[in-house]
Amino acid sequence: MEGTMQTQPPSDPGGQGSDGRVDSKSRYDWKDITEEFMSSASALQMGELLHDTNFGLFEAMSAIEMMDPKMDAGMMCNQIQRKVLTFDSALESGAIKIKDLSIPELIGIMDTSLACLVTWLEGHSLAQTVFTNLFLHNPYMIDDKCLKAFSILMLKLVDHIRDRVNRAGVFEEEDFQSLTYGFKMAADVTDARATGMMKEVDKNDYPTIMGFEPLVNQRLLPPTFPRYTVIRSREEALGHIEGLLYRLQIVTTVPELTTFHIIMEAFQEFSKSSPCVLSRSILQLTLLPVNKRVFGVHTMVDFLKDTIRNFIAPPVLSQKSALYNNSQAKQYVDAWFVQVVRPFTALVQITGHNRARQRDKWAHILEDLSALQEEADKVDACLHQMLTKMEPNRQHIACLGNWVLYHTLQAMISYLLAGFELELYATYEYHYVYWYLYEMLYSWLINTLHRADNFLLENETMADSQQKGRSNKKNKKKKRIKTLNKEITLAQAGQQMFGGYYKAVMGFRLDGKMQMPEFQFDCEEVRYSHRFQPFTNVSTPPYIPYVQYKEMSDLNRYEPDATAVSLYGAACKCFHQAKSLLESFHNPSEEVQAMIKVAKVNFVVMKILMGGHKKDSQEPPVFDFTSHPVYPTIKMV
Amino acid sequence: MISESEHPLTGSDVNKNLTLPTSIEDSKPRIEGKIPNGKINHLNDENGRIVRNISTDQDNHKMDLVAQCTCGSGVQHSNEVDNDDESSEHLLCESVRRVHIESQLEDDIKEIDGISYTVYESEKQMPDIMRLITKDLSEPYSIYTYRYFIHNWPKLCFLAMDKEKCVGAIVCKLDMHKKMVRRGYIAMLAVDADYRRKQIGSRLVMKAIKGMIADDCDEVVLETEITNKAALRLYENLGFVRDKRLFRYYLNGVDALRLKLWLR
Repeated sequence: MEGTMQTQPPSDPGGQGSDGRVDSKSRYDWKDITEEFMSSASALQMGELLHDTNFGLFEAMSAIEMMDPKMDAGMMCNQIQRKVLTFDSALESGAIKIKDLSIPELIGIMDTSLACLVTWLEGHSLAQTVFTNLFLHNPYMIDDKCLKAFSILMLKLVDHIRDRVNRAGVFEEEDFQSLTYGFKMAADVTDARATGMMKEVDKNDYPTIMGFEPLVNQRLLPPTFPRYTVIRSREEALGHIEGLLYRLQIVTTVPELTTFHIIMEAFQEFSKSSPCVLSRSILQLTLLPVNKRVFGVHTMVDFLKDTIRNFIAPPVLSQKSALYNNSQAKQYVDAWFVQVVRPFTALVQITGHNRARQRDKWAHILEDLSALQEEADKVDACLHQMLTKMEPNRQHIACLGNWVLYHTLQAMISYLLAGFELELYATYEYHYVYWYLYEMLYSWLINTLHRADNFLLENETMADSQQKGRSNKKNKKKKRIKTLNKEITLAQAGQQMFGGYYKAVMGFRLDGKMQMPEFQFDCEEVRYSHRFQPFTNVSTPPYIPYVQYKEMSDLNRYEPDATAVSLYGAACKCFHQAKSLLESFHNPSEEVQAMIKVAKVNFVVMKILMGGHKKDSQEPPVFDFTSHPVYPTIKMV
Repeated sequence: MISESEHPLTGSDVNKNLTLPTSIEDSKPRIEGKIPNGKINHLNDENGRIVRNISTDQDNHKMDLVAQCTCGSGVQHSNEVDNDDESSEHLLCESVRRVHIESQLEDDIKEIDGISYTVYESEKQMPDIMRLITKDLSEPYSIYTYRYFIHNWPKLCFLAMDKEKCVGAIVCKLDMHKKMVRRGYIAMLAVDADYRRKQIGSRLVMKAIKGMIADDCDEVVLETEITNKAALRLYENLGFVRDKRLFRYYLNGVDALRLKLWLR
């Protein structure tokens, strides 16, 4: 069946021997039942269907009508005028050469191989991309040193890529297909040998391509209607490879990052440009290689302990505290840390998935984080009791709990913001989404950050006062080493932005520019409940059900004198405040700069609306997400 | 093989025997039916407020609807939406203009504007349905796909007829999703090219939704290409919202949106 040298699996795409007759040594024993079948079928009533118990939706969708060329992928191979080439038949007929290839021919083959590789990395099957290259079916037969080395290397490269992507586990079926259809991937050639072979040859130039047969693997595909994979052009493929190399370079800078928070920020930033599955996978594996140690060095627990210290300086993790060496306290904390690892590893992995899948995963992780936070609160309570006996001035209330809460809130915010980025919300839903962000999530986030910051301050003050022979007066003016000012400012800016949008939307509603729809089957309360359903699994912050939302946002109750113009004015103030907060950063990131621009424009728009611009118009405003996927510019038509 | 009894399969019989996947993810029907653009014809009533274009019999009902309008009385309702130029497309997709659904649809739709709406009755109608739907699809379905849906859920398959000619069809299913939710699924919808912009698609969807509600449905879903603006308009005008974005869902690399109507 398989020759010792051959790569491809035993499958003859031609379906017949080269002389056109059915292979007499076939593996099948066909029996003609046409007559019996047709006569039995005639006994069925109209509309009666005979089927196996296992014939369900999947089978119905995959069913094909045999020999119908529109449905039966195999028919293509039998019907096309030219023969589908295999490595052997192509070699025999002279369609491919395995020696004396010209430089243009070589370059063309290599470029096309890369194009196939790129197309594979975009989510298509190997059968219809990389493996359409006949040279990969039997590379050991190739005489040309350059092509032989390249072909073997290509097989090994595919194998390595598959391994990384599978291990990272941050892909779904739309991202990547790893099935190799039984192809041999030159496993008997070591990496060293393969790269050595490549180093031995060295050339450059241009395109004409023999050796690529799009239908050679058609029979390997699952039975279905014919599908065609369009291979990327060579130019586009090179562009993709350049992008990939650039992203991989970024990945090499990751080991410089120090805390979990910084890593989460960096990984999320990386994800925003929708990088390919390979770079996402490598990024994940760089942080957490197979042994699951962070960068292969630190245990996850140590790494997280360090992160928490930098965030909220829990006494139990602080060497200067009496609690640090208490064995009972250590026991509680270590037992809790064991529970922390899984959800926090999952948090990092979420950032490795494609942007659409991330949204579901943010929703899913809330339950775990909430449970973890409740456990943390219990541990904190015990530690607090112990601590007050040893160091009456210090606290441990909700210390670890606050850290978990910080991440829970971030996940909830990410979930809601993903809805904007993925263009999921209708404009008549904006009011409750913006309200939840502005009044609830960002509010809580800012408070959580302030609490953490206070703990940090307390810790530093403690540390200073423990220094012998130092005057406290001098220390009061001392600049703080660790502070969460940056995070707090960003959170405040975010809150102001969403406050601006919320008030603008409420203004537009009062003004008749945005009207609430009345659908026969849709009900706002039901819709709201489903949109925020993942939040019901979180105990802190408490879920705000629809009725409560309506009460809390009731203008008649809280701002009975509100008019559209007064709301535009309030929105104006929010955007202005956001802008000021963001402009306080000395070295603003691109993200911050983009936010500033948006805040400026919206400030102006609200200002002119206040002045009566478009007062009589009923044209709804446009929320333009082209400058920023989450913070739109408001445009009056 | 187990042979079925002599009458045509009914939903309950077949459900006992078929292993139905519980997740839509198991299949990926590609729904690309071209459908009416959901153009809404508005008329002003005597107070200058907008109501739907409905027959005079329904005037009382109309006044009730207008009275139920929850915008403040000081708010002006806008005039006719011009759907014809591309620049106002976005207004339809994201518009929150008042949409009073046809009051006739409170009752069952039997015939409107010369088009009658009927439920699936026999295999004889199958070729028409297939012909109509196949025209608009880029990927072929075998007859089994149609049979799977229509034989199991015949009461959720509706046809729009212009006398003897089938000019529109909708094919759906309704079953348990992940053991928790009764989910209706609109698998296919198509309207003959000569009969578009007449609300036929919307009415077929309404019939289907009502059929699903009658069978204890919790939610209705479908997928459509993110680029299929006509479909998005039609469903969004009926209250569907975008529940999920599915990257590269279709073989040509186009993203899909899962649209959902939560009934409870």
